[in-house]
Amino acid sequence: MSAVIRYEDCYSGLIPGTTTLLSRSSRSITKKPDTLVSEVIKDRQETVTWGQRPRELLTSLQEVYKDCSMEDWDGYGAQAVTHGAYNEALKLIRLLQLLPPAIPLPAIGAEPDGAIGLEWYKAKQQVFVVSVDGNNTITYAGIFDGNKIHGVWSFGDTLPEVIIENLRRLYF
Amino acid sequence: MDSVSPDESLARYIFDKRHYSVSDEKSKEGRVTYRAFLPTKKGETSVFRVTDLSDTEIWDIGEREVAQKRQEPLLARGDINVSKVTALGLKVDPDNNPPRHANIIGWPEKSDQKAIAIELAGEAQLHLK
Repeated sequence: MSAVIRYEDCYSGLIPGTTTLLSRSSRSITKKPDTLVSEVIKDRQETVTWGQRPRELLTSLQEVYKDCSMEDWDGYGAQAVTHGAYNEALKLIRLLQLLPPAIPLPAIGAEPDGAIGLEWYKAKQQVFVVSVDGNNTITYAGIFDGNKIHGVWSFGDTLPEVIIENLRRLYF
Repeated sequence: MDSVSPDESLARYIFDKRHYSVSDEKSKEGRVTYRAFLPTKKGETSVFRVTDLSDTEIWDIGEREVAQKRQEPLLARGDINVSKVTALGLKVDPDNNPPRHANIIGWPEKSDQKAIAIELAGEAQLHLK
């Protein structure tokens, strides 16, 4: 069974009974949930997992918005986080909740250009970050054992494939 | 102090709790996050040249030149060697205003900035106030 997981599904609570995630390019992750979970690397020092505490991340997002929605929130002239960036981060977080529960929660924070960034840190050379700024794009970057990636991806109503692929690269 | 030596140490003062992560509260071990090194919209990351200064003197600079002027509590700092910065294609531009101040410049476009900031953070040493 497979399904396209869209933002509307998350928002209304109509989450399909599958972990097959299809991106806008229609490529998919086809492993069964049990297989995905069993492949998760256990060593997660700074993170907690999805499922048990999804509200924790939403609370963090609200705190980030509260703390960083004014200019110069970092003391170095940072731009304010906009309501558009907040809404896009909210949408992204809700889509991320549909990932296998064993994938760790990211650390969330604002960036100097007013974007909101999510960071999955596993080790010094195992890091993946994405950010949204309210312009329907995701900026991402990562380091995987010395190999550096970065780019921009359009962000609609589905979880971008680039996130799924790189989280698999990091944790599976 | 005009020319910058590769052996010099730079301090990035941190005012946002999300710019670092503490993995062990007792030992205060942790790391600087990539966000701490991302540049401003001018393409600059503000740092201070702190080679040959004591730990107390380095904190004093942060308090006097940054925290007090901004009326923000100084939380931590990330120290990094100049050679680590230049190895990533960036430059250190010493403007000495205020004294010992410099900017990390030469940042590329946005997504590559993140990748470089991740690498800088990985090389930086966290010091909690």
